[in-house]
Amino acid sequence: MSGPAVVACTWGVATSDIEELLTLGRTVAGSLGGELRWLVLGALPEGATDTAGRFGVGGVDHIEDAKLGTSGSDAYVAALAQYCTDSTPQLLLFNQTFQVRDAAPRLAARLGVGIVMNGIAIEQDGGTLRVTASAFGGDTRTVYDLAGATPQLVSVSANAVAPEAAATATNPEVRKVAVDLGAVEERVRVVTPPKREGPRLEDAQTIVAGGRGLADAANFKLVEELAAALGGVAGASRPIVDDGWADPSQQVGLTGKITRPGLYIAAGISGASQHMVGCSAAKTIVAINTDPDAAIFKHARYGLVGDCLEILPELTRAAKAR
Amino acid sequence: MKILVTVKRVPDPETSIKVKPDGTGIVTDNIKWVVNPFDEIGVEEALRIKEKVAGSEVVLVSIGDKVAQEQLRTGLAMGADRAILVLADDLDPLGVARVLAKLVDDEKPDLIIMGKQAIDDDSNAVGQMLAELLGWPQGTFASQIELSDDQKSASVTREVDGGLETLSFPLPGVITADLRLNEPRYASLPGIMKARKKELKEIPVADLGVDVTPRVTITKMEPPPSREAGKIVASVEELVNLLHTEAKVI
Ligand SMILES: Cc1cc2nc3c(=O)[nH]c(=O)nc-3n(C[C@H](O)[C@H](O)[C@H](O)COP(=O)(O)OP(=O)(O)OC[C@H]3O[C@@H](n4cnc5c(N)ncnc54)[C@H](O)[C@@H]3O)c2cc1C
Repeated sequence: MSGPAVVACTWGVATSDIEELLTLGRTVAGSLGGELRWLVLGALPEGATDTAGRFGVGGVDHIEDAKLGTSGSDAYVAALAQYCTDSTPQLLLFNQTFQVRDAAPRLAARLGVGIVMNGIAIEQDGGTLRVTASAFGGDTRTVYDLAGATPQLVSVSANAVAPEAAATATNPEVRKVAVDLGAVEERVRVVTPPKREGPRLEDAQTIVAGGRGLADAANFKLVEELAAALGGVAGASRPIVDDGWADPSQQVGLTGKITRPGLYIAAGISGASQHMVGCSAAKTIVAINTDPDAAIFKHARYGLVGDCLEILPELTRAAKAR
Repeated sequence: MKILVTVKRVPDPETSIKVKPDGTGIVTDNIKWVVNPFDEIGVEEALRIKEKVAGSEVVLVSIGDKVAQEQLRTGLAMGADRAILVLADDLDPLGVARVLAKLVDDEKPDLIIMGKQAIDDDSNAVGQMLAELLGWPQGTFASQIELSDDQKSASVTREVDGGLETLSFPLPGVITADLRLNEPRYASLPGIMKARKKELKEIPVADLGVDVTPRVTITKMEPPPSREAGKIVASVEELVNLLHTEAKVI
């Protein structure tokens, strides 16, 4: 018996990511002429059945087990492997959180199947799944064909697709799926869990980001002040995180956060591809840079050539005056 | 302690990569090839452990074309002891992981350090796959590594979605390196001279008897969609107006 066409698999993540994944999953399942199921590991997110219905999910599969804790991939990989053996999905989709990056490649190796990371689009061509993923720090896109054994796995980048509810809502049921994790012994122990503070950059509608052009650690507060005045979140380029001017959680880019705000203001940032991967999905990019030839101006809808140390406070005043 | 470190040959991250018009790959004219920056950090970390733990050995592994010798020599010049080059092309991540798993069977290292990803395909999968094939624990995206005094366990601090997290697990294990783990040293001139005499063994992939049938194949490459050129505004006032009336984002 063949299983569902597509299973979108999530655990412990913010709703925006889930809605994106369900949107993509529904499109792919449709092109395969099959069903989209949503597999949730651990606690069901609030309003899960409602979300599933709005996004056209055929049914929700729910695996709950005390061993599915906050970190370590052993239990997740074991649970997913059992699920795949029992339910035989054709395609398993993940939203690329840190935990997914830990667990999904391990799952692929356990099952002996292929995986594409950083997926941004999936098409079906004569039964072959074709996945577009970003490569070379965003300078190129690579199109992969998935061949051989199923399930095939794709880890989808945050903000790859815009969430879109289904034209016709469904009325999905939640089905408890039992797995046996008795033999799993988590070898990785969490000594210090991460402290989650403040809003996630990935969810922010407005981001003001600063780079090396700020010239000094103390000037990062100009970025924070404008962010606050606009009701947004402060971000940073990698070098100023390396230098301790900003927190690692604030880094935007290939090795930081992939964001999709309505407004992204880049102050004193040159526009290296590794930075741009993290913000090119922004609806409107504003660049403030002293160098009129800076690469960032090629990406920006609006550019201001000038000193960000003067322009940021002016913008903050203007934003507060509104 | 024996440490295995992977070294991939990739284009210099400073170069802007262009896709060939026919989409069969990237334009390679005038590209400088380097050690994948994340792997270079892995080599540095292994060397730092070697400096602390007497009797340690650092073995480099690359998989690819014969020219990857250059990158292995770079790692040897930094101070690694010897290198293995598996001659193979077009392996997918699982194929690479299987080749590495076979080498691990032969070499029996206590620790494997790899870059968390290579800056060409950005895939970020091989370290985790290797750990799975070996049945070893993993510490991914390490920005700090500490080994216990008896080298029987490692603790790894990493930057995750919510901030910094510290994990601990028994060795042998796989650790993947993130950018802020360390600043790699430059090879010294004596280091470069010495590297020429260090062992660099080449193994054709067929000799390993590993199934490397790809599950994932590259069909083509594309440039990212281009953005419409924007406009340069003259003042903060004009910018704020446009953001309000035209872009409607404030
Ligand atoms: C493997 C790898 C991964 C990476 N990952 C990331 C990542 O995740 N995120 C990231 O950001 N980078 C990343 N990088 C680094 C990236 O390549 C760039 O080096 C980095 O983004 C540059 O940061 P910047 O723009 O702040 O600094 P710079 O490139 O130094 O640019 C500073 C800019 O400020 C301008 N400027 C100077 N003074 C002023 C002033 N007073 N007012 C206004 N403008 C001024 C300058 O004209 C210049 O354009 C990565 C690199 C590698 C190799």
